[in-house]
Amino acid sequence: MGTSVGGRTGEAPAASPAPPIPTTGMRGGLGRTLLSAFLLMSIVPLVLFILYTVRSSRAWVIDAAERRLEAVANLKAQAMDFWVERSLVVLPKGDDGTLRPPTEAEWRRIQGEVPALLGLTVKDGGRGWSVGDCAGAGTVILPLEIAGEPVSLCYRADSLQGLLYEGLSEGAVGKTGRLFLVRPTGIWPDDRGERQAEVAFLKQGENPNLYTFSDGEAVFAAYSAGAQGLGILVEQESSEVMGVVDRVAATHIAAALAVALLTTIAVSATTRKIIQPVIRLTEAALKVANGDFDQRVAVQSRDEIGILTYVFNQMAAELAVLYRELERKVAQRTAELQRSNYELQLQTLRWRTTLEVGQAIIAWRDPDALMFHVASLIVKAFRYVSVAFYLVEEGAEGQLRSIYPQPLDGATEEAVGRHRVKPWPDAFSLEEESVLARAYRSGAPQREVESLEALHAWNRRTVIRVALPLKKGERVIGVLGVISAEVEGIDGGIDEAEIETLMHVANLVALALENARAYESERALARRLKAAELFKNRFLANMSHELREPLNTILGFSRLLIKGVDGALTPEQREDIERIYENSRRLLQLFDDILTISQIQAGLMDLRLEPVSIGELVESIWPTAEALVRGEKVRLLRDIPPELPPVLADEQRLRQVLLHLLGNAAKFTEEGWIFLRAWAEEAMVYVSVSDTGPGIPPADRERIFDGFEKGVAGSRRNGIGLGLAISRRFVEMHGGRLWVQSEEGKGSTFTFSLPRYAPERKEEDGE
Amino acid sequence: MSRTARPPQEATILVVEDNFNNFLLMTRLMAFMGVKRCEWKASGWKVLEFAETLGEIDLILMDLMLPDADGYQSLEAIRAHPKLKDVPIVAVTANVSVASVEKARQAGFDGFIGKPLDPDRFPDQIRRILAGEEVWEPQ
Repeated sequence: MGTSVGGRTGEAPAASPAPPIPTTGMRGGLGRTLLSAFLLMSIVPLVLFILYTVRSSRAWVIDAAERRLEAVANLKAQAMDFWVERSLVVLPKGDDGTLRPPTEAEWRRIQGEVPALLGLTVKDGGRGWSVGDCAGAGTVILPLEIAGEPVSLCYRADSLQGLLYEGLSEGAVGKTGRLFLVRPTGIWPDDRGERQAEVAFLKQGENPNLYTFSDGEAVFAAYSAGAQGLGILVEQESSEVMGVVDRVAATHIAAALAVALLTTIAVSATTRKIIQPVIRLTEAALKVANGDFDQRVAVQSRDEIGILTYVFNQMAAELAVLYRELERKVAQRTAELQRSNYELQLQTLRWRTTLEVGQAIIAWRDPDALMFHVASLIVKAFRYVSVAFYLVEEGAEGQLRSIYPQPLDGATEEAVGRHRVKPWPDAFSLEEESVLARAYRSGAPQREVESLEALHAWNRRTVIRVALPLKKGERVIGVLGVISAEVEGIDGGIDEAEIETLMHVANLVALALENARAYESERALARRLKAAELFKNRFLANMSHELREPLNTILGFSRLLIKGVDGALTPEQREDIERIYENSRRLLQLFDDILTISQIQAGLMDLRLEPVSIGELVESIWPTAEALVRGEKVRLLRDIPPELPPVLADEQRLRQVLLHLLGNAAKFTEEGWIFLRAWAEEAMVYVSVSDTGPGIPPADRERIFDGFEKGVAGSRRNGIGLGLAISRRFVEMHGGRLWVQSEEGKGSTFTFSLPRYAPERKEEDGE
Repeated sequence: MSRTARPPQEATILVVEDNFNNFLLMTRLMAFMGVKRCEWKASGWKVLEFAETLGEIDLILMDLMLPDADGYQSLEAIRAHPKLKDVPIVAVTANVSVASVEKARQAGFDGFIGKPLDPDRFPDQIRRILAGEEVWEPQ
């Protein structure tokens, strides 16, 4: 790589991974293409030419060989004819032209004239004869016919060999040329035994006269027939004949290769000269592609390549400018992105801290625990050295309430690098010049920067103290103090946004402290209320006892007087005492009712629920009920089935309800009956008290439950007071209902329902 | 409880009651029906304290809500006293719930009369108790 691009650091370019850039493989590419083209153009015609030449020379060579062999055959056939004729001429003949056996002398003469003739044999029926030696080795027999007579002439083989090869130049049949004598009885010398077939093949006149033996050897051959059924066969091995053609071909190929080599060298040289500048350009372009924009290529010629180089240089320069601009923009954008990313993180941190502070506020009611927890949150979130909370009581000094981290025992300083910083005083006076006091007075965040000197710059620290007021509305109730330590020169420390976040946290804490304070005072109030309630409860209980006792005494003694225990009374006295008695009774009833109502309203009326048998309860109150009904004209009746299930009720209250209803009925019924009935239906038990009283007008049927109502205007009986209201309330507290059905002039029926006792609800049988 | 019935005129009844008015009312009502001898003690503790000075007692009417010890403790103490152990003791109390009656029965009281006393019924109740009848009448 060349010089690195300005502004780039050692980092990889943004657009990694880069596509692989083709390298030296391309360098020979153009040259090779050119060379291939040139070679193709020169070698293809040459090869075609060679192919044609070899082909035509081959045909010519074969043709020439055939004709040559044919000529040899013809020549030798004539020579043989002549040779045989000469033998026949010298042989003695009879008058009829037939051969006659030669005499001794004649035979010697014949042998002298034709030394090659060794003997002859005539086979003419029974008159056959022979002369000379025909059976010896090296004898060749030629079967002939003379004057219609078959004659076998025996010749010396070497003489015959001489006849065949005599006068033949080497060029005539070559080195492998061979000649054969073809006889009707066989071919001489036939060393293969296949030559009869060869002769037959030749006689067919095939062209070329190329015969292939069974062992694969191929020969060019010619046959020429002579007189007397004899003939000459000439052979030459095809390899010798074709050797000429091969030599020609080899020569041509060598020539072609030489031409090709020369062409290659020439073309290479030329190509190299042409593409050298292109390669330089390519290399430069590759470097540019790799980011080295300072690449320039020297212009060496004024041809197209030169122009291309010049243009390339210009483009590279422009590219360099553009790329540097792009780099600058990317760097700028990256910086912006990093900044916004940092701000986003900060934002997230603030949100999280605020959220955690919010959770802490919910979780911690105790102000000191809350402040300590929030301080620890802030220290952890912002990596501060120390965070402290001060609270200021009205007009007093600011008191340190919570600090995180808590100083170790006896330690009064906090470590900042190698320095030690005194974190926070235990208190601050409102008038002093500390950052805490200033924040309290101004109601706005205050900061103080302290530089800690050090031997080395890298060890220098800046300590920043920020104090934020804890504000409740416009009132400052305390101060939140923060210490941050920064390595000098690296960071600006606590910035505006951070102070804003801290301010938000401070506001939250101030709110929470106020809430905690309010909660505390609420709790104190609640405690006082509870005490007051207990007092009231005791008071009511005492009251009922204290009030009842004297009233009961009054009732007892007035009753005593009425009964005449202390002696007879005058009618007036008796009437007066009865009045005292009746009103005392009403007063007692009123006390009871008012106390009960008060207890219900104060929520002090607790039911002691337990299984209660209606039958037993009614049994226990029956004497009282009978006492209530004093008139002779009213009968008190009851109908309670023995199998009636128990109810879940407060027996005391239920007794009150029953007595209220029975008392009411007795009060308003002057004659007839009062009937108490009970029955069960599903989950409820019902109790009704019917009477034959005056009944209740429809308009009053609900009002009688409101309290202090009189059932019948003008009745000489007393008002029913609070009894029905209390009874209804009691029944409803049990989960039941109390209602009235009435018909004016005929009577009323008060009915109430109570939940049946279910054994699984046993856990409610308290006390 | 087996004991010989005694006519009201010869009976001695001990009333254990912290409220003098109540005692007075009871005395008057009982006098009305013929009971001539009534003793009064304000608590079970005082009963034991003065047990030796008391004459023969035929019936004890005992308030269950007493100042020093409640009626049940007093009952136990009186039952343990050799002189008083056979005297019938009837509970007289304002707590008239069925449970309270049952508790009194379990504890060993011989009867139960509810408060406030009904002057119309009280003399008869005493008469019946003295006649040997068991009286359990909270109302």
